[in-house]
Amino acid sequence: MSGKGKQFTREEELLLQDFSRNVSTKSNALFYGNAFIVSAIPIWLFWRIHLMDIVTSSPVFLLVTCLSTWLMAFAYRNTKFSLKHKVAVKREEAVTLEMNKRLADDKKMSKKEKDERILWKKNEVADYEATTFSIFYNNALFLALIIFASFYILRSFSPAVNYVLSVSAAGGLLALLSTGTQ
Amino acid sequence: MKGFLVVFAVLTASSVALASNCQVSNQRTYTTQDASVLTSIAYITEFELTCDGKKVVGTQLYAESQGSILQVGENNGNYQVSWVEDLALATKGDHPLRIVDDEGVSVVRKAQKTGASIDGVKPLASLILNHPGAYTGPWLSSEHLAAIMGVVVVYVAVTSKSKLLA
Repeated sequence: MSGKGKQFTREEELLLQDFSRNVSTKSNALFYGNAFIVSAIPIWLFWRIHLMDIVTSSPVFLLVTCLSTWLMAFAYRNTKFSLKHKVAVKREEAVTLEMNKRLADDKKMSKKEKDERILWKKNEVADYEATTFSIFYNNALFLALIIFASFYILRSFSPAVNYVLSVSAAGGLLALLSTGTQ
Repeated sequence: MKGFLVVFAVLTASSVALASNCQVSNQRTYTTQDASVLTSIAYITEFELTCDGKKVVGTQLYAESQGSILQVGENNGNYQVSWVEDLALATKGDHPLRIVDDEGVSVVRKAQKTGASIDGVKPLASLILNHPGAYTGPWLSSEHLAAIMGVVVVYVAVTSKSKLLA
């Protein structure tokens, strides 16, 4: 794209989408849904174990859960982006082999179309694996950080302070770590 | 002074004489069983004392346990001795109690003051209060268990990620 007003072709847009940090609406919904669930889990911990009153503390719970949801979704997106192409490289051989087997009988299909299908399948597999792994990885770290922060590091603080600090610090730390290249 | 010593000797002798004929009956014991939310262990024992075939009623008694003298409460011949001990200091097993009367407790106190052994003081009766131990909560508390599980899951997540990125 060099000239003013020149539009991307559909293939170029798809290619750009593969390499960009932007995710599809479906992925975004999955990320925000998961981020909300995992951010809401500490409410149970602080309500039943740290004995915070659910009604009087609901504004704090709501605010911190929203913040944590955003931070976690940000971490999911970044982790997915850093993993996707590594996963694609790792799975390339297996996907190519499987697709070649599947398309072997189709004599009418051109070589170019076969390659496109393999590329599309490879992209789909990598996207799916990177998305699910990103959710698992960030959730595991988030919950472990919450446990350590709330039960050990911030145990002497009042439950409300403990909740705000542990949840926002865990979310913030994961968001920060996800921006790293490795 | 000489007169006092004579009186003291007579009282001690009478105490020893009583001791040989006294028996404890109907002993009931309670000790704290669940100390998961407590800081002290309570020891309580109730008993009746019979000396020379007669139930002892209205006599002030004392219990000596490991050098400490405890006052024994009484309700119509039903005697009760109780005390609490810090959870960290409480020990499992038998706790011997030596029951003495006014004269006996004077001898014990005198022996303690002079630094003499109180083992020679013969009690009216002896009791055993058994404490089988108290439940102080699970060996591994739930937060430690959760933290251990968290570490395991994080380990799996981090190693999987490094394998993917390798």
